[in-house]
Amino acid sequence: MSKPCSILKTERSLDKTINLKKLIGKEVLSKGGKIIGKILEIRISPIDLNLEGILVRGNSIKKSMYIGRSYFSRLSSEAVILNIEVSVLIKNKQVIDSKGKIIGRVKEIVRKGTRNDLKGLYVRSLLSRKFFIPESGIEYVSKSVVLKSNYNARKKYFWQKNR
Amino acid sequence: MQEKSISGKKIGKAITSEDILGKEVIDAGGTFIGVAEKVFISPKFLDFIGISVDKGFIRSGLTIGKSYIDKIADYAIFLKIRVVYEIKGKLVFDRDGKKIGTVSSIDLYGEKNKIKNIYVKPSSVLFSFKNKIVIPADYIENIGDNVILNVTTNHLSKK
Repeated sequence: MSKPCSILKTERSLDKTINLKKLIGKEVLSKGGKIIGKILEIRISPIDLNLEGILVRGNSIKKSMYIGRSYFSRLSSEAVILNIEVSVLIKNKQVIDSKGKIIGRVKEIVRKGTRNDLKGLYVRSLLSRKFFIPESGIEYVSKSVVLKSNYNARKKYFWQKNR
Repeated sequence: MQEKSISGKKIGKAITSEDILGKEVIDAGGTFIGVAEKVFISPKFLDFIGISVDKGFIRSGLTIGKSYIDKIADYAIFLKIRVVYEIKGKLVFDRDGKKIGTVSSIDLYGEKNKIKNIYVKPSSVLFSFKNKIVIPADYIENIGDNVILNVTTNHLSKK
């Protein structure tokens, strides 16, 4: 195909842009390379015409996710790489206290609004009721969720009464 | 009956090999590495120098030096590091997110937990003529669930 005639003022030239149509169906990777899912839609702002975010069909969760541009690290014609580990994917990870004891699995994630920042987690084990662990009690989240040494998880078992 | 002591030091707060053996070993990324199965003691200085970890039937064991141990807790042994051998089998993507292949083996700096090179079994047609791609550690941007490089596939194919 011959090179099209360009009508530009301050914009980037054609070869320095990405064809968004080709991005549909491409993978979305987290900062650590986890495959989050595939791009379903690319959304732009009708006001300033900037790219606002992408709609992703989840790999590990069936629900789709809308991820804002501020969480993008890199966008190429091959994939979108995020600058975060997606907090909603913490679900079902093991929770370990500072003594190395497994205290349960993440059942629910509470975020600060729609941001990726955690407010806390609801955790449950086989014999315990669901209990809340605030973000301040979490040391780090990676393969598992490890709690801080000063955090004392108050586990409530089924036979204990709710107060 | 109370046990007699001629240790020369107060050893009441010390832990014993029984407190180590059989405990789960967890790395700095929260990954369960295996179970502590041996304790190593220097025959010369009689110091504790490390542990051996049993990773199960299929995977070969691992020896971890004392300097990589963060703490020996009541239920597990926490490491200060993410064990680099855990990189094996992870997918490798270039800086644009293009899949290159899977980590098949690694080169370390001596016996340190530091990667020198990773060997990648290619999945891309671009590298199909190669059996293995050698990628130096400098090209690795991030290691998480998988590996992301800071160079493009074109850069690697030129090498």
